[in-house]
Amino acid sequence: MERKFTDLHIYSDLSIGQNSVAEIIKMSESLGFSSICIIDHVKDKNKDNLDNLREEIIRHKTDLEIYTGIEISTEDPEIMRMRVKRLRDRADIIIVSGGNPKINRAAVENPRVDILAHPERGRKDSGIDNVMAKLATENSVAIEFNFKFVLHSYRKVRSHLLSHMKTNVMLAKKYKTPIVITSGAESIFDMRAGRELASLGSLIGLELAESLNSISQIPEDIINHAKKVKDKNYIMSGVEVIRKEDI
Amino acid sequence: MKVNRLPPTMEIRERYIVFKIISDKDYSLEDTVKTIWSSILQLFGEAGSAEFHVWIPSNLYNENTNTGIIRCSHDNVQQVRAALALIRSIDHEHLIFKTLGVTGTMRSAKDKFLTEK
Repeated sequence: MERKFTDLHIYSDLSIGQNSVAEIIKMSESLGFSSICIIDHVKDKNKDNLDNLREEIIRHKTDLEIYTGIEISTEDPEIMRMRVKRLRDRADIIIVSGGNPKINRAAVENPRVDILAHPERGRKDSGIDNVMAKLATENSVAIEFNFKFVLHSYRKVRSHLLSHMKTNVMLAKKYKTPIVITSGAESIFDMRAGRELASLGSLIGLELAESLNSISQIPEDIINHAKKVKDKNYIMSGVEVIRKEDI
Repeated sequence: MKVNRLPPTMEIRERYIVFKIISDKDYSLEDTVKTIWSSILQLFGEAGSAEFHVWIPSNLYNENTNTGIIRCSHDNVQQVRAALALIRSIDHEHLIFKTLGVTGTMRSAKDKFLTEK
């Protein structure tokens, strides 16, 4: 069976990206993805653009499965919690933009969050520690490794970035935290095919099978988990309302 | 004097990566080879890339379709792929290197990916 690849982090021009949804769809098809997730980026108190994005996606006919997601970017953990709560039902997946240790911690403590993106961004350390990795596993928050930052950096900066990513991979392996590799593409030329994204894994200490899982199996699990969490019969992990009529 | 081939058990096991450049323009062999090598050297350095046994056969690069082959040792396919994926542009023109497949012999690479059916 051939693997199905998923890229969970692409921006369109309705958000901070440069290319339209149509161009993204065309490129994803030629790169051989089976599903993608187009992300809307909200910063602090800006309004989200999810409804427009969804309308735009419905207008295009394609075999790709396209999901919508939201990336929450703020410096205040309280605002982050509020936004996650409010947007959970509207977006397919919720990504929290990491980098600030307070936000990283608040994100991994929140079971409504799906992905903590680039926890090492703009830092002199890896951004997560053993406690956070453990919490992320308990709350099934995946840790993202963003290909864009590796692609757009060079020399000393790239070297530091890769070494922080290595530390995070080590922690994630030890505590069995789910890992996803995404392109984080702002332009269609930042996108890469599934196996090319997986090759980033070889630079940061992932085995081939693990890095292939992180762009195929784990994103699928995240989307399925998010669907389950959004169901109104879901209460918490392992607790669900089953009505008499359904049996 | 001719140098003998290595005994079969000591032979370097090779893989052939077939790549295609996704871009609006066509690129010459010279530009492509230079870009690939500079990316490999930037990412892994001279000593690191020495283990890869990289060779880009010039007669198999097609300047019209932007497809070609890179040979490397079978342990380092992922690393060479990563170096390909981290190429952003040639002459400030943005492009994407996509691998079409990896094969064990040059003949199967030609048959599967480079001949038009």
